[in-house]
Amino acid sequence: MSKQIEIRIAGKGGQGILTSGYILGNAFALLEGKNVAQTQSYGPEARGGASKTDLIISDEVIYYTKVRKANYLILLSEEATSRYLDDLTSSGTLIIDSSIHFEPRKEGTVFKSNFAKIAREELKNPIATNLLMLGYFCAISDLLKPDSIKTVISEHFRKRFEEANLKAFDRGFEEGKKALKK
Amino acid sequence: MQEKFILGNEAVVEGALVAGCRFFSGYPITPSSEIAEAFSRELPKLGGVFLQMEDEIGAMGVIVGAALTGHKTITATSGPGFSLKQETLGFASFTEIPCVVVNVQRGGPSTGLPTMASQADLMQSRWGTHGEHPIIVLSPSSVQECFKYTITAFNLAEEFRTPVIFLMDEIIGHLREKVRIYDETEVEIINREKPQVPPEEYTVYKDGDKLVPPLASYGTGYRYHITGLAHNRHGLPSFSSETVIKLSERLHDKINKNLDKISIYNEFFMEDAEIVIVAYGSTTRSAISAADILRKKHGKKVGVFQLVTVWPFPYAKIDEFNSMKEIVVPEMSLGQLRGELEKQIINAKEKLIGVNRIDGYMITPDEIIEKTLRGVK
Repeated sequence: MSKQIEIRIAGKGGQGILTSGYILGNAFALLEGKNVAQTQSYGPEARGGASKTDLIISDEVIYYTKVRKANYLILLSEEATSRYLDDLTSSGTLIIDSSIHFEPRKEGTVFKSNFAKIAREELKNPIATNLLMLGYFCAISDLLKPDSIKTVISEHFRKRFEEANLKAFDRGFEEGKKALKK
Repeated sequence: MQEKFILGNEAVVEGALVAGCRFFSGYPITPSSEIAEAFSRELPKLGGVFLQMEDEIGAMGVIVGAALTGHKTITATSGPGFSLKQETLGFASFTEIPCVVVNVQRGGPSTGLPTMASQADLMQSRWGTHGEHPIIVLSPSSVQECFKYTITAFNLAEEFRTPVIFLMDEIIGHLREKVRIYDETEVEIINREKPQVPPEEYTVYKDGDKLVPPLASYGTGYRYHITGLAHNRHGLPSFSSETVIKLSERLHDKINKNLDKISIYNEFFMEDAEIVIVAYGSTTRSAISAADILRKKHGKKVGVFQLVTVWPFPYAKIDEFNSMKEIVVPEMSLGQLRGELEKQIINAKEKLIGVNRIDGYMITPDEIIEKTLRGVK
């Protein structure tokens, strides 16, 4: 990774957006040896408000901490999509939940996946949507080792949720790999 | 040394613990709450005290009182709470009680923009309490600096027997970065001077010609009086002109005659600079990004001067910038920092360029670049 990579993850409060930013940033910073600046914005509400996290990943010192144009944009809600879709670089990669309607992009790469639906219906674990998304991102981007993220997931959550959390990550990773083959 | 990936707010707690602080009192408020949270987690493990008070006023009183028992103490708040602490902050300054007050700035006035950033408490951190008082205010621009300069804040509080304000902003408080945490054997730790004389000879506000008299801890056999009234060397009320003038002079001298120790700043690309961007806190980061782009893409010789110690203000250093073609001052306020520079810059109207933002968002490098290229118009 020579240049700076900018990643934005956005959705609504309660979807684990900020947690996913923390896990991804931690994995890049402490397990992949990168410099990371992770920021977040959220409304005063605990749930339902807009939620966003930005990550800058670099081998160099990072000064400005916010995403200017994202290389990767991950969107998990309609509101976040209408607000942030234009923040992607023209060649950037969009990862978006299949349930969201949006204007098709002329350039760049788009990956659609049923994160929320798989988490809810197949894994019976809707709060793990964010981990599923991280697994998918990990496979698509190939920017870091899956084990780096899995190590952080194991350390961050309570032990009794570890198996279910790692399962969600692995399921997302598998979906990502499948999408790459298409 | 160990590496962690933590928030600026959490790095303040790490720094405080390494500095030897074992006493926090506060009332949680966004965007500073993670400081209270982390202290509530860590202090009990270390035998320290975490005390959530009924409000910010009570918490400020508590840290001042606890500091007199020998503790290194800290509180953390944001704008609305910082306003409430001002009276007791003045008391701590006048009675010379060391403590650290963190203000993670959010948009104001009043309840304002709770989850968004601001730098509009710059003047409040200097003049928020009534009366003429000296104060030390430090401001970090990264998570590493939160750790490093929190230790400095305690060191300065202890060395100069004064409250020190740690002036953060929401962007730095809620920024996560990789930070190197050093232990107490790897950094300089300063502890307040204790009296060398027996209790009967001790006077709390006088020790020969020392600008900073030693502070005895309550409960160790030294009896003395503390009052917010003008006071003599024993700490008893005294309104004689001589006492009042001497006290005020010493309070200001102990800070102003030690600027070499207190005044901290960082310089970036300054060697050949013809334009300087003066910034502090998170805005420093946009300034450095902007300077880098202005040099590489536009061939402008731009440097960045970061104030870490924002008060006392480095007027002598700012005076050197009179040789610059332009002085650009980005800040998340309508021009509080720029106003201070105007005092020192000749023909300020032809040289100073403000880049101001008050909507809670970080100033972007592009905004600084645009204003710098446009010049004074």
